[in-house]
Amino acid sequence: MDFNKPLDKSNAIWLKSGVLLVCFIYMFYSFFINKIRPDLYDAGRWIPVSVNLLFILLCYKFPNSIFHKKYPLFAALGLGCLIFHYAYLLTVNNHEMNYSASYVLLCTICILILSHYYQVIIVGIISYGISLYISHHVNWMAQSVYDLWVVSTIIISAFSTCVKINLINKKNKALNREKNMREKLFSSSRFTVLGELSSGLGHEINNPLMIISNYLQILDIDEEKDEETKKVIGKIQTQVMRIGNVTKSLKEFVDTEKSVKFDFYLKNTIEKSLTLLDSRIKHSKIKIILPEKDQKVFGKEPEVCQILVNLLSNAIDALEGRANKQIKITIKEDGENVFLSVWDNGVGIIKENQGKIFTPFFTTKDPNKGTGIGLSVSKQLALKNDYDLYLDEKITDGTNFTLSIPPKEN
Amino acid sequence: MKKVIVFVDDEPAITEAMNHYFSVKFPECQTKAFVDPVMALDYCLTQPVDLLVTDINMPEINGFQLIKKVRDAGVIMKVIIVSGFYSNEHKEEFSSLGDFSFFTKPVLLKELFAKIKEKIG
Repeated sequence: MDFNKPLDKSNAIWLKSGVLLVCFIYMFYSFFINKIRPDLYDAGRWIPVSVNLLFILLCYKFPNSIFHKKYPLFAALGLGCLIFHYAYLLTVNNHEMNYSASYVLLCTICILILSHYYQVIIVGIISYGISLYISHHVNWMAQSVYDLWVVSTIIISAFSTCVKINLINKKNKALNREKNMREKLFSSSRFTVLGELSSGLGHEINNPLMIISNYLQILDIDEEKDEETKKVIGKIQTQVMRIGNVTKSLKEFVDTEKSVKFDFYLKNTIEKSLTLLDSRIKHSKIKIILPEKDQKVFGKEPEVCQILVNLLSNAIDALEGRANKQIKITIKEDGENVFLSVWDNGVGIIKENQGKIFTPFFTTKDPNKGTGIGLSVSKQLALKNDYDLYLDEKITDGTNFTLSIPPKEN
Repeated sequence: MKKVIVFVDDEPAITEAMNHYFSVKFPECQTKAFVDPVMALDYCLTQPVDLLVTDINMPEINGFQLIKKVRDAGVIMKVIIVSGFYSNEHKEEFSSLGDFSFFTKPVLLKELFAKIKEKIG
C-alpha cells in the first residue's frame, strides 16, 4: 500500500470506519475482561485505542494537515500499535485461551482492513489448515494451534496483501500513464492539425480580406467624401489589417520547421507574439511592460516567436486570479549574448517542481488547460538553435524565464 | 506610350478592384486584369508589358511558373508578387525568380501604388 498517497474518498471512509470498529471491539472486549478477570486488567491497553482515536480525530479536525493527507500511514501505525500491545499482553499472560481467541479476531479484522479484500479470509482458512496439519503431526497443544494460526495468517495475509496491492498499484499507474499519454498526444495532435489548417489560412482568410481592403480603398479615393466617412473607412481598414497581421503571425508561428536563419529585431518578434495572445491579455487585464531598447539578433525568428508565445501563455495562466497582474519583457545583453526575459508576478514555481518544468508532459495546470509540452518544446527549440532557455531560480516574486541568444556565428 | 501593368489573381474581385483603383490613381498607365494565369501568360508573351503584379497560389499554373515562363521566354518586365501564400518552404522558388518585390495580403493599395511608381514611374 502506498502510505504516502491519500486514499480516494470512499476508501478513506471505509478505512476510518474499519479502524473505529477495531477500536470499539477492543474497548468492548477489554471492558468485559475487566468484569470477568479483574486480575488481568492492564491500563496500558487504552493507549493504542487512544492513539487510533486521536489520529482519526486529528484527521477530521485538520482536513489539510498531514494526518488527513497521509491517513493510511497513521492507520497502519495505530493498528500496528494495537497488535503489538496485544502481542505483549499475550506474552505476559502466558498465552491464555481467551486472549488468543480475541487476538485472532483482532488480527483478522486489522488485516482485512489493511488489505481491503476477501482474499484475506481465504488465506486465513488455508493458513488455519496448514497450522492444523502441522500441529496434528507434531502433536502440539490446541493452544499452539491458535497461535500458529494467528502467526501464519498474519505472515501469509500480509505477504499476499503486499503483493496484491503492489500489483494493483503498478497496473493503475500503467493505466494512468497510458491514459495521460493518450490525452496529451491527442492534444498535441490537435496542435499539428492546427498547424496544417493554418497553412491554408493565409489563402482562405487573406483573400477575402484583400477584397474588403481593396474596395475600402476604392471608396477612399473619392475626394468628395466627407471627413467622417473617410474616418470610418480608415477605422475599418485598420481592423482589416489587424486580422491580416493575426493570420500572418499564426502562419509564421506554425511554420517553424521550415524557417531559415536571418537577422531580425526582437521587438518585432515580441509584437508578433503579443498579437497572437492579444485577446487573452486584454481579457485577463494584464499590464504588459515592453523593453525600452530593441536588439538585432540572428536565428530563426518563427522559433523565437514560438518560444515567446509559450512563455507568455504560461505567464498569463500563472496570473489567473491574481491582483495587479503584470508581465514584463526585457532585453539585455552582455556584449556577447542577448538575453530575452519574460517575468510575471504570478504564483511562481515551487522548488520541488523547478527541476521538472522542462520534462515533456509535466504540468501543474488543469488537464483541460495544459498539455505539459509547451516548455519542453520551447527548450528543445532553444537547444536546436544553440540558444538556452532557463528559469531564474533566485526570483521569489513570480517567475522569470530567460532565453539566451548567442551572437551570430562567423 | 502608356506603361502597361498586368494584374493576375484567380479571385476576380481582387483584380477588378486593383484595376479600378489604379486606373483612377494612376491614369498614366494602362492596366490589364486576368483571373486566368494561362491567359495572362499568353498576354505577357505577346504584348508589351512593363509590370506584372501576380498572386502565387493559382490553378493550372502558379505565380512562380508564370514568372519563370515569362523570364525563360526572354521577356523583360518588372515583377511584384502579392500573395497570402508566403512560406519559407518556397524560399528556393522565390530565390530563383530573380528581382521582384513581395507584398503579403491584405495589402494597402497606396503602398503597392508607391512601389509600382518606384518600379515603372
